[in-house]
Amino acid sequence: MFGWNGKIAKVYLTEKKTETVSLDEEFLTNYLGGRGLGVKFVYDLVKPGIDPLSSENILAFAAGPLTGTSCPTSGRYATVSKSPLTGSIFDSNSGGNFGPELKFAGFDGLVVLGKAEEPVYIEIHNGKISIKDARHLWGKNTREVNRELSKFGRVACIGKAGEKGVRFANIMNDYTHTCGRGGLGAVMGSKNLKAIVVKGNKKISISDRERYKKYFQDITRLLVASPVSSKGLSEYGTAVLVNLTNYMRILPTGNFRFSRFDFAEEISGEKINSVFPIKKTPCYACPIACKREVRNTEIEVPEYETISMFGSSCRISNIQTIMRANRLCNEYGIDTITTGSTIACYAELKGEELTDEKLLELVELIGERKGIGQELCEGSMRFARANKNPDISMQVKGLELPGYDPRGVLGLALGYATSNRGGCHLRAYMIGPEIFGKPKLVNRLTFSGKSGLVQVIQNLFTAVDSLVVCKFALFSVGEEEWANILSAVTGIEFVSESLLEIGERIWNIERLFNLTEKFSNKDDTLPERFFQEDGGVEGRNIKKDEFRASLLEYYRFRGWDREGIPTKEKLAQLNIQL
Amino acid sequence: MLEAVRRPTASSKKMGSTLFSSGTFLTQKRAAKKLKVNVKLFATVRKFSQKDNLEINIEEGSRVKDLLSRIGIPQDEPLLVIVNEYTQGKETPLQEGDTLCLFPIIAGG
Repeated sequence: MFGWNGKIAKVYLTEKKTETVSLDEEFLTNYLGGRGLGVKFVYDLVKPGIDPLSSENILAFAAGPLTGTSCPTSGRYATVSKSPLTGSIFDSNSGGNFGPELKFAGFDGLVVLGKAEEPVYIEIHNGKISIKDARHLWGKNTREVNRELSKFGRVACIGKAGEKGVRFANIMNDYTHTCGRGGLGAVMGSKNLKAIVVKGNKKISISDRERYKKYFQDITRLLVASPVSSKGLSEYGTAVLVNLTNYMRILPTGNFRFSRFDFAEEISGEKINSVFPIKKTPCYACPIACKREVRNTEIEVPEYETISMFGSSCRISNIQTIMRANRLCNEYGIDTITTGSTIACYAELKGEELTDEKLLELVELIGERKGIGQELCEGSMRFARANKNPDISMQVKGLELPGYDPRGVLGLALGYATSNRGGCHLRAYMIGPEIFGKPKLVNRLTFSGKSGLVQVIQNLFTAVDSLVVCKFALFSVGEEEWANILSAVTGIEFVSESLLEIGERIWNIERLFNLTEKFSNKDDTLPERFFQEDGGVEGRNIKKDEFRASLLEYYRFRGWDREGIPTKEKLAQLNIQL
Repeated sequence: MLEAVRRPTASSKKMGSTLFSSGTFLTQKRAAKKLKVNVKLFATVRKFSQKDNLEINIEEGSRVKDLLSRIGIPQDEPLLVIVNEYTQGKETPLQEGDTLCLFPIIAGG
């Protein structure tokens, strides 16, 4: 087998047992790796209705067929589980070096089942899997755990928040890289699993080296030629978006009550670059190098989403405060979008203008699960419901919305509503066509033509999450190039359409999982605020009838019925057995 | 074909027209009349000017590309051009009171 290792590690924590399971080529061809592989394991192994924080949940880590090769941006891996925040199936992927090292250690993935009696960590070293005592690491935050375990290999771990069951706790790998959003760190903590350490020196075998070399050069050339990947992201990171979204009136401000922030320049990428000397900290095999930290410190430069939530949405205009909040989140291992949005929700509920000190105090209380943090650590949906004001939680399916006001980007509005993991911009990044004009500019203020586009981009992104490569490369490199290099690596012929079909298969399995968890078409919606209020631009509230018509059209394009349930014909076409 | 997406103009907003009803893209030059447009520069585009915010008087009928020449931005500089909150191309005609935001080609998430 080429590209893949053809096996995964299974760790039964309750029984303190480990096992190596082989995967056949047909299975891997259907699901690729990363998100696809993890979703299939969770779909097959997690019983309906279980508590995500119980020992019955599983946690899958999966790399893809390209992970660990020299293919640009292929340093990623995915984690998949049932989310304690949303109750849906949930995948999250991260860069750094952990994913490639998992492949070098001899595995395509790792599935963790059950619950350990005492805190443990899992070590995988050149094919050997061990469960080790982690009592000395319990109660420590992510940087310290990384530091202590990095002598044994690449580390993915949780901080205090994951131990304490904060519903949006992250898994952090290689210090600052994050499997964020849905609380998979809390799933890890509920299993008494503090960390995974991987190390190995296995080389990834490539089927056709000559072809691989050609496609590798094609992809590299495209990344270097594109100003997006070679300049925009590389020089300013994602923070460069703050001024743009502010001028486009889609920058969430004051918990999405407004769409423009008077102090945007103060929290912008331009400001960060003018104040701090920046050092790039690229992921494995990545020429884009968007991740950055302040030179001679270990302080991470926050991403756009983080700035939009702690900054404009919480109405904080001090970039240093936002950087501190970001740092605290990474230390405790909590999601910056949900943390920021839940605090913005709290501020609206209390009618409070947050000070810099108060913001940082609330982040810390969430991480420690103390004081008001005991309520906020449930996420904004549960917090707002408990306070009898559910409409001020800016979430879809329980996941807080990221930094783009959907009233000004209607394709993204549909993308938010139909995302299988809830309010997320990375299932179909419609900002590409609607704002950047990539790959082609479309009118951002109409639903017309969006339903078809959204589902195609969702399918493509799902495939990309399964290879696993970085979505940022998609601004420059198309599905044809990915299919080509995948074919050269694996020796199996893939074309653009086969990648899209694999993406569609995985998307439908996620939908089936969610339907058995009592999600329905009623959950494919947006917070009421976006239908009722205009965010400060006259007439820009979303018209409900237009939204519903677009949603029905989306179901039709997907081959689902009017209730949003995949038809038997569609499942048969995708070779999905119920 | 970026300019195919219609946009409301500053003047049409003042007259209270609906969002997409204004499409009078001027193409011929009229002598002596000037337009006043506001220009905001961001990120790497700031290197082309001493100021980040400019108010520029330019001949009626001018397009985005003419404005770039006035500021001293090379025509082949990859740019994301936003005119009154709409992504536009370099051939887009300018109108009185337009606000232009010039970004490098960026993306992210």
